Amino acid sequence: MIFKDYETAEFFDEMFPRSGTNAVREHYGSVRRRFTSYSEEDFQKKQSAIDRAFVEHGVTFTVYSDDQGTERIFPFDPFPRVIPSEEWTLVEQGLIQRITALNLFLHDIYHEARIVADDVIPAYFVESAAHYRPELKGLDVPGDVYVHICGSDLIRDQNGCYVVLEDNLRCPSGVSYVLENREVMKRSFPELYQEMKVRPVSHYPRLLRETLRRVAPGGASEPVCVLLTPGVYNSAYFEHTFLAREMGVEIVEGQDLIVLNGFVYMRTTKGLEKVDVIYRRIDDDFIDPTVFRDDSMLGVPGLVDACRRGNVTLANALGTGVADDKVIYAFVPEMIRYYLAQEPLLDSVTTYLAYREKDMRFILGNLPELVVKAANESGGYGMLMGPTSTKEERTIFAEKIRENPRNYIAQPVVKFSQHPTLVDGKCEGRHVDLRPFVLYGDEPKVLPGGLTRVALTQGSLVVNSSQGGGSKDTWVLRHLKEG
Amino acid sequence: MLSRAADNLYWMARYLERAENMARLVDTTAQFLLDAGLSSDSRSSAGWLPILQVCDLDEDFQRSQKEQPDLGIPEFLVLDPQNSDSIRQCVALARENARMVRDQLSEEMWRELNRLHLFLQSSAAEDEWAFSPQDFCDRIIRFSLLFQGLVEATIAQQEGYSFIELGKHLERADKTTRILDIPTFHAHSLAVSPWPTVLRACSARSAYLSSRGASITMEHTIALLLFDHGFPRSVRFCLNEVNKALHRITGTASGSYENEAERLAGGTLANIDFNGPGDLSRIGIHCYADGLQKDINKIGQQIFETYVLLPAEVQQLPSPSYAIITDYQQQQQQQQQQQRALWP
Repeated sequence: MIFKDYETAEFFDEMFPRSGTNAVREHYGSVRRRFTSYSEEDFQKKQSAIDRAFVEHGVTFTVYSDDQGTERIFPFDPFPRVIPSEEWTLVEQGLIQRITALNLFLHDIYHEARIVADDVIPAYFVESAAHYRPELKGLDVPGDVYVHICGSDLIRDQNGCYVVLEDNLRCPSGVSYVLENREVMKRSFPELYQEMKVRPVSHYPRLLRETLRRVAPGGASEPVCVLLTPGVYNSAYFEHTFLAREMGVEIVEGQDLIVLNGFVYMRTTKGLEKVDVIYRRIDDDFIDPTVFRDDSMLGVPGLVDACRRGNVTLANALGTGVADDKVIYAFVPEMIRYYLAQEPLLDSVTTYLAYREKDMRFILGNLPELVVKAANESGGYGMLMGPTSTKEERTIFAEKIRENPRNYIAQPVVKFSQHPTLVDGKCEGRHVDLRPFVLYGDEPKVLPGGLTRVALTQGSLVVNSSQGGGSKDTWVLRHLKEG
Repeated sequence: MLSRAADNLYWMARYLERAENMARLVDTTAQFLLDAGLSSDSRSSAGWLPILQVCDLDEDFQRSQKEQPDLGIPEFLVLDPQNSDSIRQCVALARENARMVRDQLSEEMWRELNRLHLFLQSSAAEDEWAFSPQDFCDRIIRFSLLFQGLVEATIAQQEGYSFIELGKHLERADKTTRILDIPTFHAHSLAVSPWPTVLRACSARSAYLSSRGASITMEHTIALLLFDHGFPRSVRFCLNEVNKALHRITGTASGSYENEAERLAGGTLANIDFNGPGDLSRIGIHCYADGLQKDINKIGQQIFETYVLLPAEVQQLPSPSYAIITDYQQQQQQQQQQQRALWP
């Protein structure tokens, strides 16, 4: 029996309210019933069939630890994460509220900057954010939408409350895994899937295409959209080809595009073809060597000018990364109150800003209990995990914080929820987070589900794929009443 | 389709055809040297020189040999990573082009090409070459035939397919003229006729025997490999395929032309049909083959200018960035850096 000796420890467990009983949360009833009927062998067979499917489909990413570049699959755990519909509604509304406020914030700081004038956010924090682009002041974007694709990372705390860990406003990746995971799960557990009444995710490429269509310059009815990739050496290249194919748009590199008289064209065998919307997977810094980094070999000279003239739309817009700064993150609840006159529906993690003297003293005095993060890093880079750090690491970090207080924040360690995960044919609790995807064309839409990432190492709170994380399929249910 | 994608498919096909022809040449030459009683020792034998000469590789070989004094000509042609025309490099370049247009290929095409590339990069390739050059060459030829079958059987015959056909037949026409020129370079020192080897290097022996009988003459061999309407490696046949592919791409009726590449291909073909045998007897095979190679180069250049470099308005601007990217390592690093932080 795979659930024998399952431990919930002191964490919020997504499936079992407490250890030592067979009682599960209502929405996991069907999963328990089906999964207890499988033997360890059954699971191992399913698991290896799943891994094989990923390799054969080429659902891989490339690791560049050496010159060769090795292709790997993103580890997948077949135990689905289930979210009942009421719970999802709250997440959905919270995300819509958040992206709406963040979008208003972006428009504001690149125009009148009222939020700064009204002393809600100090001007210094905005202007010193690494991804703030003063060059874009006064630049208008269609529908005033900046963030067309957003993938915030959510966790659940010890009480099961959803909390936003970070917002990823610069075209987050991972959605191809959401779709591929689902395909694999449907094939591996068809009866369970059918019984659970799971909301589908396969319409995402269509929604994305529709989102891009709606933000075309001048409301063109049949705009030409393309996906701009850095190229084959990017880790997410598989995702780029996947999304381009599913949306039925061309995948282009910078060298395939050219700007003439302020319009963007792609070079085709039939001549130049005008491009209206670019879903770009290249950072701002590299997108136009005439405006940003002049050593960029990936960008398109003149692209920013074409945007400025309103002849092409970039998704996401330029300059959205300012809100990925962890210092700005601390102000999102204030933004929601300021722009929407509402209370935030989703919590944020308490954040101490080393730039504030009082916070700095607190941080330096409590390093072993805190997580310290560099304000402009994400993806598990530039972090100090207080409780598991060595004295030496803490000394190094304290020095860094004192040297550049603007660039560091600290948060209490959130003991985020765990989920039963298959480890050697048995079930064990592993920590999970959730990256849902929000699309914003004329209004924000949340894909029901998202990428559940799981820290496969016991006790680890780091779910990033670069550091031993895997993924799970996320099942958002149509109805509460299940099994 | 995107110009770059068309260019990638065209070059993928050219490089694979180049690799296959090189494998045939190396394999048949080794056998010929044995038959001719010449030393096939790769370092000392002058018997390998004609290949370098017809492929314009003599200077490259000398450069490689300066760094690796023990390097023999066959090794240079097969495995030398410094020789961009070596079989190993041709396959690597074909694979690199294929990787950039994976969405245009079938899974099977990618898998087979990737598999051969991984083999050629491994030490197993060197072992096989050392143990049995014939098996090694056979593996390359078999792969090429399999790959051509996959192109026919697994992708839609649309624009991309036409660019693959274009690359394959242009390269094949070029290589046939070069193989025909080989006897020119070792004519006076031979005890046996080189023409059966020429036929074998073009897989044309059976076609010759069945149409022209058992006695293999220079005249008939040249006629078959230059002018035959039905033999798939003859220059005429290949250029006709090039012409057809070009017309399929633009949808222009045959006999008329819409761009410079079509005009040149049609012109070269007409010239072969009307003046070929006369010109050949007047100026000899060496000069005739040389002239054809120049025409083929011009067609290739026009294909590039028409479909990749693009229309007049662009040509006034600086050339496309792929023409000026020289630091591939830096470009690769930049590609890797992008959005690293947003990766799940």
